[in-house]
Amino acid sequence: MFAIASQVVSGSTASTVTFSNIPQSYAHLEIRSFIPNSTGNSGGTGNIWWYPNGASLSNGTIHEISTNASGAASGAVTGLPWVRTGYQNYSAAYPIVSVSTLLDYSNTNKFKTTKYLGGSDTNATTNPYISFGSGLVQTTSAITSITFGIDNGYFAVGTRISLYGFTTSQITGG
Amino acid sequence: MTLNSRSAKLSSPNVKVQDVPDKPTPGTVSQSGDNFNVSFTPATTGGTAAVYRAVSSPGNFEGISYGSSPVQVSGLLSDTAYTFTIRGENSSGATNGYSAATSAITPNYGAMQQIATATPSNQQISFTNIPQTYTDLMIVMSARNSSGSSGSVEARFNGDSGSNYSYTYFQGNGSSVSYGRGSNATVAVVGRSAGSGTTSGIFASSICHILNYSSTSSNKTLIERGANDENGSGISEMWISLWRSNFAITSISIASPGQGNFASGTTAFLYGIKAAS
Repeated sequence: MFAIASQVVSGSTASTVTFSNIPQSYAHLEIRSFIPNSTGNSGGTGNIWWYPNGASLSNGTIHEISTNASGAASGAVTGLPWVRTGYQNYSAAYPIVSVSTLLDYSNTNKFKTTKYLGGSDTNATTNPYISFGSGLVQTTSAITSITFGIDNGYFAVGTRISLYGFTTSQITGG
Repeated sequence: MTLNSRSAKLSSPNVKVQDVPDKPTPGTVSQSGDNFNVSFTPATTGGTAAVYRAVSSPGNFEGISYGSSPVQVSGLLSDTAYTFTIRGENSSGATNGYSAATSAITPNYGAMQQIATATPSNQQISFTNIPQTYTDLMIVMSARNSSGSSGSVEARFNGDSGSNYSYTYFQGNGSSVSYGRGSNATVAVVGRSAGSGTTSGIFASSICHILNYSSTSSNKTLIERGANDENGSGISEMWISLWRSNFAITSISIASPGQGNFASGTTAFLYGIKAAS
């Protein structure tokens, strides 16, 4: 696994975070995100999402299993402008994290499927959340850029989103 | 060299005069996983080399090959530029010295590097002096208890046994799901462990991610996915745990369910994941 790029929101909040010119030399991508808390974002709840190649989707789909410790849920949504990389429940003081994978992102013969594991714990019976989900991006275009956003707000200062690539290639040097 | 044939025959009848290999010409250096192949062209003058030896600068990491290119060297440290010199040695170890240096290569082991490994035998696990140079940590475990039932692998950070942890979980046992949480707990959950009463050879598997572990300005959240399959019973699960502390994580103590020990055969690997700068 090799580090491709990483962005930390500093100075002021950011409504989106974009990775451009993603190298096409890897087999798969991994996305690791850390958000310090939801208060710094917007105080609300909502999807942490992404869309590829500079334009929102018209037919993104997601499936998810999740719990808030009060019940278990399994859901799906179609026709979305994005796919998820996580979900922000209200977590005023504690981090929201997720790890996502995106396989065969540069393949021009197949749609792209992502999966993620993420959530937050709040040391309280209200608002903990953990979910395992998937997303379908119905494009055969290679993914060369990814734009991240969050419902009802913006990314807090201190947010870090990091992009990694998996490859089996050997590295040579002079 | 001219020898006095009479004296040579009389004084050392079994001596074989060997030529000494001249300096080879350095070639390229390539990385293959954790190994580095140092290529060279043997000298066309001097004796035949039985062994070629390459040595790094800095570090004096050394490798040998028996008579041909390349020489393989390992152990190099990441983020350090290395050059190599090569020499040929005859069967007596004689050499005419090292070649000129190769071009420099800087090892790239990737973003994920192994920090430590534990193979407990009726013991708990302790990772100490964790480097603070990574962005995230990952714990990969194959675990079985020394005693007791299958359950969650417990972790404490920096020796903190206070009620500063909490967690939320979701599990499925093949016929139903369960969920729940714990507040003000004394442990976080980083994995799953198979019970001691299960068939010999059964171990649970799990992966846990600890994000932003070295931060001194935020609490620590970790997520785990794990499973134990015991040929008729078992659990698949995901946990999210919180350690309410702004201290950087410098050590992790890991125990089987109920602060128990792990059986022989358990393995735990601690990896560091470094984001792009």
